[in-house]
Amino acid sequence: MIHKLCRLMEKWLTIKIGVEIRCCLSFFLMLFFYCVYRLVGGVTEANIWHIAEMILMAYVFGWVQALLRADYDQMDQLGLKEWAVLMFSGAVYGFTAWLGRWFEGSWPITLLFALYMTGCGLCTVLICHIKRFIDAKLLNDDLKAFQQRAQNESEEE
Amino acid sequence: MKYRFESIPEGENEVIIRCREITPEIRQLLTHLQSSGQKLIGSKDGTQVVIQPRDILYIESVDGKTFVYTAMDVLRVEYTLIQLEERLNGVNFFRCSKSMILNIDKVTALKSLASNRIDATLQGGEHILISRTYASDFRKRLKGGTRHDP
Repeated sequence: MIHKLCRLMEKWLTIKIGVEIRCCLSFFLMLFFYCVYRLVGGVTEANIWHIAEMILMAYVFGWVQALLRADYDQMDQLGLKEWAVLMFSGAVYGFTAWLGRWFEGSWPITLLFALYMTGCGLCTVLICHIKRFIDAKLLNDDLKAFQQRAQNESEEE
Repeated sequence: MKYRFESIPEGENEVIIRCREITPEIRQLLTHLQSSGQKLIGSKDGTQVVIQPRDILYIESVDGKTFVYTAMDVLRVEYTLIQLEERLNGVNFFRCSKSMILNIDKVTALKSLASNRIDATLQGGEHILISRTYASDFRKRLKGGTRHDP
């Protein structure tokens, strides 16, 4: 019973940590675009409500992605489903930005923001792919070394 | 039970058991034969077949039954996965999921997947998934962990 509870706790913590990391990353990306937009417009102050909305959005969306198993870092390939998730996520970010009037209701900027978030999602997927590619290369090197060791051992025996 | 010995000039030694049914006595004999050289006895279509561990690609448990997969055959064995893990200790086998034991020597390529899972391609092109729970032990094993690692 305790062992089962521990396993459940570990599972929950793994998901929770993943969500927190993704939340931080999403918030940073949104804040970066928002700050650049404000600075280009000559505004050096940020609306604290907008920032709070971004944090809430990043957190809620992070959980939704985790529960739907649609996290960017969990995508093994870039198929139709993955592209749909990327586009949909961008659209949700854009819609939230429009709803919260983060860019004074400007449609072109909101659209640009949605595209920017989609692009960032795509970059995250690609970075994870590169990471796994390197990991696979190291794994295969270890496998070859292991099989060579085993062969040498059996020859000695 | 009758015994008959037949001398052969060449070829591999072979034990043929002719019986109406497998009695405890024969089962004991089979167990003894199996214990020599870690060979396993599997059955296919009612025929008993000796399996060399080096020929095994992987072993899978389905609905409480254990099957050994070789390049040519799928054979049923009368052991649990835990018993097989013990029997095959010392050979390069690895428990890669709750229901599977993998022969590392038969792995031709590995692919890293999301959620820290590993996809192993075996000789013959079959793919086996090493679950997240077992993947870190598999990595340790490849890096030179002891053969006793589960």
